[in-house]
Amino acid sequence: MMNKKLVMIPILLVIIALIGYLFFYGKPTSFPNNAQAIKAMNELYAEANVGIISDVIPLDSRHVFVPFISGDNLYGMSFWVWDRFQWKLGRIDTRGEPYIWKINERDASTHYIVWNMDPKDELRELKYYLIGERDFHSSASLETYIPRIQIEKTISLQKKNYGVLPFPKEWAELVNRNLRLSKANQPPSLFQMNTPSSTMYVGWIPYGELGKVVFPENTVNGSSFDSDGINLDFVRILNEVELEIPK
Amino acid sequence: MSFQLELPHNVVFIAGGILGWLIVLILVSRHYLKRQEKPSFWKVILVVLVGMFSFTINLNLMHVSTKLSILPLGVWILVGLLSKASWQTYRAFAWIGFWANFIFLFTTLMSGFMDNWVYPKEDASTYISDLENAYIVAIHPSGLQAVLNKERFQDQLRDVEAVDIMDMGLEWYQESSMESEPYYQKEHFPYALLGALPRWGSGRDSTMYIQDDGKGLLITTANQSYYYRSKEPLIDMGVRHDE
Repeated sequence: MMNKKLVMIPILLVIIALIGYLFFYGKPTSFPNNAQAIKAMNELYAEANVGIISDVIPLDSRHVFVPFISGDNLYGMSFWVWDRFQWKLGRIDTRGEPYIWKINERDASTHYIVWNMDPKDELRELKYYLIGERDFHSSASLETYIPRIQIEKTISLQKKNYGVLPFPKEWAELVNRNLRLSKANQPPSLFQMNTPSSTMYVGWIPYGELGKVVFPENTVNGSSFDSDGINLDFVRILNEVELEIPK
Repeated sequence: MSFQLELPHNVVFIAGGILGWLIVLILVSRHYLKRQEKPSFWKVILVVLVGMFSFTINLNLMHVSTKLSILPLGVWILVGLLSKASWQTYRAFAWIGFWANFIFLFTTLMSGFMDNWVYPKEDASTYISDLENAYIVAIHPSGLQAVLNKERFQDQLRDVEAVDIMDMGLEWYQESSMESEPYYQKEHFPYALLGALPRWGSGRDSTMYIQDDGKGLLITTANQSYYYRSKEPLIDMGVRHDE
């Protein structure tokens, strides 16, 4: 009996210390100041040549989006994650075309669209679209019809050429329902590790002066450096003819 | 493989699973108690679990997806691993493990029937039960601004009439895709009903859409669409915020 107690006490102490450690040190400290952040970025990826930080936008308490302007006047983006002890720089892009940052792949309410448009492209507004293709299939006694989804979200660039758009509530629920239904269609297997795939996607159209569609050449060209698993999804530029326009 | 890590979200299937394991446990215990010389019970449990391991084929029996075990792989592994003497001791338990797959097949089929009785697949109220956080959203540019009157919707849901969707899906699809059709680039179902929950314990995931005239309700699950018509509009359409 005595022996057992003697073993239990240190184990308990270790557990308490661990919980305490995670509680106090697991909490994010304040984000590095601009000079520190610039230094960290240029150390990780010298090519970025970060000059000015445009803004520091927290998505939640552990994920921060930092759009910047480089010394060569390129408009870029950086992605930061709180990693137990410190703010870690996960990725740098020297371009600012839209990406979806998926904090938790399986839950679209944690998905954010981020962008930093190059003013040289002279864009006035962006339109983001949540698209789900119309679908129909039938077999023996079963028949399925899925309506087309096409929801538009307009972003003005008058004030800021960068930004973060958390998935609107209805986008998140439509995508999550879609994920659950396509998962139910996969045969059950022992290994449920494969990432769920949704048949829905997000696209965008850039608009310039007088509502004309422009190709944002400067915004889409650049390089990127990925150091630590930032889960990004590409946002495709749509052609207006791909959209349905009811008369 | 016979083990499934993912738990079902449906209480009927969970109950069926528990019943299956109980039956297996009773069978094993009864056989164990009958024995003169008793091997350690934990080893028996381990042998039963290994015995369950089998080569299976997926079968869809009366709309219930099940697995039929064919080859007793676990039993063969045990034959190979155990010495002759201990194989004699554990043989019966290994085979109970294999036959347990058929007990689970039976309880799954039972659950499948029970499930449709407790949560009818054809009932709109199975999919739309809790409307507390429900709202309507236009999902296509051909939809207008629309609002949900929850109490009225709940009342009308009791009176909706199920309509066989047979061939309608294809028509809806074609009418929206062909330039000669009046529905070209319009959507028959331009609204989604979001925030609504299915009946508790049913695990019936779906997406619910409302027709452009407000009187049709389309519920699409993973492999089937159900279509209902109401006499009165289910939602209020054409309401503008700026008015």
